[in-house]
Amino acid sequence: MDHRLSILVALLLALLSSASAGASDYGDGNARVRLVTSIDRAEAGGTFLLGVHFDIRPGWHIYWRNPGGAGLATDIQWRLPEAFAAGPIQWPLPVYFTQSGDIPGYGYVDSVVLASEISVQQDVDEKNTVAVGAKVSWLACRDVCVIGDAVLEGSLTTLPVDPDFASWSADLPRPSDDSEPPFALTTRGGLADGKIDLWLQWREAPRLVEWFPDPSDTLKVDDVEVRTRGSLTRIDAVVRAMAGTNESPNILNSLVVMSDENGRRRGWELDVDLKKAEH
Amino acid sequence: MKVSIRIALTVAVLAIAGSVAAGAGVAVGQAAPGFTLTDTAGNSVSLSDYAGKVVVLEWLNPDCPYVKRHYKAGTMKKLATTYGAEGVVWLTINTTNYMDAAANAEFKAANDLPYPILVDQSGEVGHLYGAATTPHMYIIDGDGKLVYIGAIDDDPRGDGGDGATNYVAAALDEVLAGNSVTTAETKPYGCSVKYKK
Repeated sequence: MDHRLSILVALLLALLSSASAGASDYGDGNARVRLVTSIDRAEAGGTFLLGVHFDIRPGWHIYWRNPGGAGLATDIQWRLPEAFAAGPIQWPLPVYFTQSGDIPGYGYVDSVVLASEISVQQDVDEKNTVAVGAKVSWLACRDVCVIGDAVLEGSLTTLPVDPDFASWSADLPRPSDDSEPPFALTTRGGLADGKIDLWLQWREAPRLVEWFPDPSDTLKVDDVEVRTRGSLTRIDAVVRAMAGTNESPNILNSLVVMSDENGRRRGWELDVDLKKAEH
Repeated sequence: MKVSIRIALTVAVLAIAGSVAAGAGVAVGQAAPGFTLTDTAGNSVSLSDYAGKVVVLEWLNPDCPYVKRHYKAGTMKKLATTYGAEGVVWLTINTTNYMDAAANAEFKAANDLPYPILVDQSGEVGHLYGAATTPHMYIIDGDGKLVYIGAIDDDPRGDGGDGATNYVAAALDEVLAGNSVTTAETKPYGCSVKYKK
């Protein structure tokens, strides 16, 4: 073999082998997970963020708190010292994907950090505020689905302090009582009508608008359609109480996500009143 | 003025474009739609063959980890055997696009299943019922009415132990006792049904 050719072949083989080694690093669950924190030392009476960073195998997705028509929400059970109290998981803006049979799915691709705010008691012995952990479980799907799980353990003094937490927090959805959302909302329909339509008049025309209903044990939301023309968005959905539900839900919690001209996504929690909407 | 006219026109366009059809699939309280499929032995099986009986429909994909977990635990087989003794019919439907009669026959033999697996590679019956996940469970009462749709249980991660509630068993108990089903609909969990593209 020509000397240059053999070098080229060797280089190619080395590249291929490093690529396959990289792919296998994702493990059976098709995602690498690790604990991340916003501090390296817990202060009495303070708060900090503790998160699980997911690196998801290219082409695969994991699920948001509402997986959509199929799938299962990603789950994190914190294992913390007694002096720590964890708030709810804070979910960054999900992406929408279609599964086979046009079943809608809501989740994450590439990478995501799911985190909780941890409150530290006033009166603590600092020796007891170091060890942290989490039991993590997720469903990863592409053409097929696999379950991933991991038990993560670490010490605040040695865990990576994630410098991206500042921007991560800024990209979380704004709460529904945000005093100045960049849209005016009109809701029509409701449970009595079996459908809702939400009209959002934006201050500036968005490039793309998406809508994600929250999970519910009592409410079924189907046939979501989102259409945007200029600065007006119409969201249609079929809604009904689950069969056998004793008390019909009054509120449908949801999330609206807007992408601007630069592709930047911003989201707002949207609480839809199912009883008082205009007809 | 021009702006308001434009908004009004946009609203009109959206109002037309926004009209959508009702959700696909079936709902609790409706009559279960009839279907005919072929089982792994090549026999034609129709829902109408079991008129007057309580029928359970189970959506299956042997490659789905949730299905694997339940088959390893024998969940479906135990239910089918227990309630089969009381006259309940168990029909398993596999809508997975790449699984033909031979693949289903292999799974049935490997698990020594006492019930047929009906092959629905075209997805016709899956779409008819709106099956979204594996597993996805449906119960039809003796009058041919759907009385339960949803998950097999309230324990998607399989860590609930004895505290978990099997919704299908609870619903069958109520149906066989002549009562209405208390928890008649739940959100199913599992892999998305791998429909034919």
